[in-house]
Amino acid sequence: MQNPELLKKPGLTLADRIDRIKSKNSFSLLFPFIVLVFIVLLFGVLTKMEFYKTSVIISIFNQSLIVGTIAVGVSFIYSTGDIDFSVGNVMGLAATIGALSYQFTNNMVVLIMVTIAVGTLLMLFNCTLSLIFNVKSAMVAIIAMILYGAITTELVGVDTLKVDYNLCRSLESDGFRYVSFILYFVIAVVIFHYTAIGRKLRFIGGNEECAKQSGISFRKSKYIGFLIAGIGVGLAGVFQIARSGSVTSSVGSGMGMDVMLATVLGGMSIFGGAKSNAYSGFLGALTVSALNKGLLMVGISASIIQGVRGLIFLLLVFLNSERPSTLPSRQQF
Amino acid sequence: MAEKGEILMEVKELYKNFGVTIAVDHVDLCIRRGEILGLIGENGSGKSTITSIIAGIHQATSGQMFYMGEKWKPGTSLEASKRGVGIIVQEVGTIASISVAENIFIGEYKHFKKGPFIQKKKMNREAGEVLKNIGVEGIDPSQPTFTYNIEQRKLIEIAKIMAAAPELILVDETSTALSESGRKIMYEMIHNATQSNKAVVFISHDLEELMEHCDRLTILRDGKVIDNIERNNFDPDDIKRKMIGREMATEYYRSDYDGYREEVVLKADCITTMENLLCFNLELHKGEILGIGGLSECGMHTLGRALYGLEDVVDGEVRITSSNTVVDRPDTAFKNGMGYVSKNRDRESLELDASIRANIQSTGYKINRILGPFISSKKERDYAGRQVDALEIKSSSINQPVRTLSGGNKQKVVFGKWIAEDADILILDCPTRGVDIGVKAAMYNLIYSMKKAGKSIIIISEELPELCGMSDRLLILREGKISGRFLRSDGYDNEKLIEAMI
Amino acid sequence: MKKNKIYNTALSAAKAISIPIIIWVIFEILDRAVTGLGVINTVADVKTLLRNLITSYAFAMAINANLSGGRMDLSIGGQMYVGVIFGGTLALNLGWGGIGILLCAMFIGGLCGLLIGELFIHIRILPMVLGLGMTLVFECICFAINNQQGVTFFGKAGTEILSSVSFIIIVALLLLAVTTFLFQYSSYGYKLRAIQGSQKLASDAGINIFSNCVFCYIIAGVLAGCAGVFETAYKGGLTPVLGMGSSNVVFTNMFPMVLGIWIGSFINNTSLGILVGSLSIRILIIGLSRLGLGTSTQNLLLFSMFLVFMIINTNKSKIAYRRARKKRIALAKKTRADMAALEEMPALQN
Repeated sequence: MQNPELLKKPGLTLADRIDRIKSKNSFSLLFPFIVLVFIVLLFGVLTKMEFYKTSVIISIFNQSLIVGTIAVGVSFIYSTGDIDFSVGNVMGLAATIGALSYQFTNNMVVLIMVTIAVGTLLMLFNCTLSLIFNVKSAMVAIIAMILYGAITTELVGVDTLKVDYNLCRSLESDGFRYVSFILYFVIAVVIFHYTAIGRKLRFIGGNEECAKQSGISFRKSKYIGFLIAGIGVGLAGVFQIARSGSVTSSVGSGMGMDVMLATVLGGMSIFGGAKSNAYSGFLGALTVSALNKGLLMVGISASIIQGVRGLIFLLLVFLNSERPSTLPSRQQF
Repeated sequence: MAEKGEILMEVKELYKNFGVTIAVDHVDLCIRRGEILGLIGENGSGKSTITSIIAGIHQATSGQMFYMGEKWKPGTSLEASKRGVGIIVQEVGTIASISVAENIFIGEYKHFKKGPFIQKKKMNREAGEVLKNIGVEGIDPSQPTFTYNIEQRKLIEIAKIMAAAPELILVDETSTALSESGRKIMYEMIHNATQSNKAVVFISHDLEELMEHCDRLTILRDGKVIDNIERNNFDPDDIKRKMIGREMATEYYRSDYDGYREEVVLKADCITTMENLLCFNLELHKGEILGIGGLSECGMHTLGRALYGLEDVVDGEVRITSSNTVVDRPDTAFKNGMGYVSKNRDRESLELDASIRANIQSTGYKINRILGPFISSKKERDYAGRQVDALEIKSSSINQPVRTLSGGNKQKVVFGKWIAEDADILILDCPTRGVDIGVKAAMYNLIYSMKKAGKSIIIISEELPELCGMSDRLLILREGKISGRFLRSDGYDNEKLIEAMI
Repeated sequence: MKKNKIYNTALSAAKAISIPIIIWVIFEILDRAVTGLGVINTVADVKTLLRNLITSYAFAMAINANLSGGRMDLSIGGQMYVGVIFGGTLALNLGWGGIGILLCAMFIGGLCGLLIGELFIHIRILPMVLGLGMTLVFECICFAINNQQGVTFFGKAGTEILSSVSFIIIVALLLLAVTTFLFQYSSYGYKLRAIQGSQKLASDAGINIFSNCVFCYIIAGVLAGCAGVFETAYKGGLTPVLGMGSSNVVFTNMFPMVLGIWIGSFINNTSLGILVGSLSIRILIIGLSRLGLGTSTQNLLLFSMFLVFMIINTNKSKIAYRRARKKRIALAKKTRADMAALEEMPALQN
C-alpha cells in the first residue's frame, strides 16, 4: 500500500517558504529601504523626472527632519515595548520654554540648551510615571499629551511666541540643522547598535523577566532610553523653532502619531523586541515625506492624500509583518 | 453494545511532519475498549503528537484513523470531543480568569441558554455535579479559577473532559502536575473508565507509574513504534533500552566521591520570604554541588529565587561572601558572579523570538566590549559560537529564533548563556526537565566539570534520582523548613529521603 | 444568607453612587466660594449635563469594547465622524427626524466597525497600528464627500428630540440594558471573557475568536455613532477634520472609562459602572468650569486628577501587599527570637 506521496521527502509548502523569507532578519531590514527606493523611482517616472530636482529632494528631507529626529530618539523607548505618543507635545512644550528663554536672554545657545534640557526632563518624567508609579505607558502617553498641550497653550497664550527671524534663518541655512541631526543620528545608531544599551533595551522588549534574570538593570536601561529620546525630542524642538521662527499654541500636537506611523513604516514594530533598531524612524519619516510630496506632485488632491497615505501605510505594514495564528493584543492599562 | 477487547480506535501508517522535522513516522496503533494503553518514549519520540492528532489538535500529513469502525479525521479538538474522544493536555488547559463552571463547560454555553440569557446558576450546579462524579472535593464552581492552585486546576480540566462523557480518554503527561492525592483521583478515574469499557491512552515519563497502571505499553523512538509489550512481560531495563536504542551507561550521573571545600561562598542568613520560607538558613561551599529536593510546594523554588534576588526577602539576608555583598536584586547577583536557570524555561530563561546568538550573548555585554562601552560583534559571535559548538546545539543557523528549537536544545542555550559568562555560583531549578536522556547526560557532565573547576552549584529538582546522582550534599525541604540533611559520602537512602519529603 | 446578599448589593451600590455625589458636593462648595455659582444652577445646566453625559457614556463604552480585549483602537473617532456625517446626511435627505438620524448613524458606525473588524482578523497587524491607519482613511472619506461640509443638525426639522431630556434618559437606559445583557448574560459575553483569558484555549474549545472580535468592533462602531449623534446635536453640526484630530475623542473619554471600570468592579456591572463614572467626570468638568479658569487650566487640572487616579488605582494592590509584608516581618522577627532562645537552652542530646 505504498503511497507515492509518502516517498517524497517532507518539504516546505509555498506558504512555509514565504513565511521563511519574511522571518529572515534581512527581509525586515531591507524591506523599508526597498519601499523607499521604489517610491522614489515610481514618482520619478510619474512626474517625468521633476521629482529629482534639488529643491524637491531638499524639501522632502526638511519635512522629515523633525519627525525623523524624534523617531530616532523614540526608538529607544519603543524597543522596550513602551508606547509614548506624547512626544509631539513634549517637543511643543520644550520649544515653547526654549523660545521664552530666548525672549529673556536673547541668546541662541541658551535657547538650544534650554529646549534640549526641557525635552529631556519631560521625557524622564514620563519614564518615572511608568516605571516608579507603575502606570502603563499608553496611559501615561495620553495623560502627558494633554497635560503638556495644556501647559503649552497657557504659556503661549493667544499670540504666538516670536523668535528672531534672522537668527532662525541662520539656524536653518547655515547647516546647523543638518550637522546636528547627523551627529545625533550617528550617535544614536552607534549607541543602539554598538553598545550594550540597544541590546539590553531589545531584550527587555522581548522578554522582561528573562532580561531581569540575565542581570539587566531594568530601571537603569529604561531611564537611559528615555534620556536619549528626550535629547532627540529637544533637538527636534530647536528645529521646529528654526523652521517657523515662532511657536504657536498648537505646536507639536498630533506629531506623536506621525512619529508612530513613521516608525512602523520604517520597519520596526511599535511593541519592540528583537527586531528593533534606531534608524527605522528616520527611514519611515523620509518615506512618508517622499510619499506626500510625490502624491502632491502627481496631482492627487490634497484632501485625498491623507487617505491614500493611510491605505499605503496599512499595505506596507501588512507586507512587512508576520501574520500570527491568533489575534494580536496587549493589555494597555 | 460496547465490549471489552473491541477495537475502539485504530491508527494506520500515521505520518506527520512539521516542516523538515518528521514527528510521526508510519505509526500503527490499536486501542481496545477496557484497556489502558501506555505510550512511552523520550522527548521527540512522537507520543504527544500522536495523541494530539487523534484528539484533533493537529492534522496528520497522511495515514488513516478509524474510530468505532468508521473513518476518523477530526478538524478540531472540539469536534473530537463531541464524538467522544477527549484529551487532557500537558500544558495548562484552563483559563484562570473565568469561573470553574465556565471552564468546565467552555464552548458549551449555549446548553444553558434560556431564550437569549445564559443561566449561571444552572451551569454552576451542573459543574458541581461533574466535580463530585470524579471525586473532587473542595472546589466551588462559581469561584474564578485563579483562586485554585495548579493541581486543582488540572483536576478541573479533568472534570471538563469527563463532563463530555468520552469513550476514549487521552492523558498526556498529566501526572507531573498532580500531587499524591490528585494522582489517586486520576488513577481511579482511569480505572473506572476502563471498567465501563472505555479506553485510555496514558502518556507518562514515569516508567513505574506506567508499569503499575497500564495493560499494554507501546514504546516509541524517533517517531516510530519500537515495540508493543503486554503487562505480563513488563521489564524495566528492557523497556528503557528500547526507548533509548542503545546501551545506557547506568553511570550517567557522577561516579566520584570528591568532596567540596570548607569555604562558604553563599550564605542565606535567617531569610524570610512572603511565602514558604521563615527564618531559613543555608550555606553553600566552594566546589560543592548542593541538591535541594522535596515535594513541589515545599518552598525550594522560592528558595532558589530568593538566593538570586528574585524574591522579596523581608527579613534576613542572602550574602555572597567573596565580595561581601547582599543579594537583594538579580542584577546585584549577576554582577557578583551568580547565575540562575529558572524552571519556567520558555517564560523566564529565554527570549523566544530572539536568535540563539542573541540569547547566549545576553550575559556577555560587559565581557565582549573592546573600547570603552563599545561591543565587538566579532567577540560576541565567538562568545556564542563557542557554546553552540561545545554544547552541540542542533540548529540550522545560529541566527534562528530560539522558539523553533526542541526542548533539549533550548535548555542547552540557557546553559550556554551561563557557562559563557563563567558564573561562579550557579542556581539550577529543574535543569533537566523536558530534556532527553542523551542531553541530560551531557548536562550532568558539564555540571561535574564546573564543580571540578571550583564553581559552586545548587540543583533544585523534583527528581530524586537526579539529586542523588549529582549532589555532594542533599537537603530535603518540607513546608519551608529543612527536614533532612544527607551527605553523598554516607550514601543516599531512598526510603529516608522520601520519609523526609512527606 | 440572602439578607447578606441584599445588604452587600446595597452597600456596593451606595459606594458606587457616592462618587458622583461626593464630587458634586466638593465642587458645589468650591464653586460657590470662588465665583458664587453652584455646579447646577438652572434647568439648562441639567440638560447640558445629560447631553454631555450620554456622549461620554457611549464613547467610553465604545473604547471599552475593544480595550478590554487588549486592543486600543484609536480609529473610534474616525468611525464616529463617518457614522454621523454619512448617517446624518442620509437620514436628513430621507426626511427622517432625530430618531432616524440616530439609527442611521449607529448603523453606519456599525458598518465601519465591521470593516475594520474584518480587516483586523484577516491582516492581523497590531490593533493600534491598524487604528492609526484607518483613522487616516476614515477622516479622509469624511473630508472628501459633501465638499468638506460635514453635516449640520442645527435648525433641521425633527432634531429637537435629540436634545430632549426624557429621550436622552431613555436612550441611556436602553444602552445600559443592552450592554449589560451583552456583556453579562449573553453567550457573546461568556465567550468574550473566555477569549480574554486565553485566546488559544478558547479557540481550542471551539469558540470562534474571529467572529467574536468582529462583533466587538461592530459594537464599538455602533456606540461611537450613537455618541457622535448626541455630540453633534449639542454642538449644532460636525465638520470633518484631518491629521488625526478625530482621535482626540478617545483621549478625552479615557478618564470616564477608567473610573467607570473601577466603579464597575464594586457593583459587578461594568456598563453601569461606566455610566456612573461618566456622570462623575461630567460633574467634575462642569465644576471646574465654574471656577472661572481658562480652558487649558481646566484641562490641566482634570488630567492631573486623572493621573493621580491612575497612580492610586495601579498601586492600591501595593498597599495591601505592604500591610501583608509588615505582618510577615513581625512574624519573622518573632521566629528569630524564638530560635535564638532555643539555642540558649541547654543542648539536648540526639
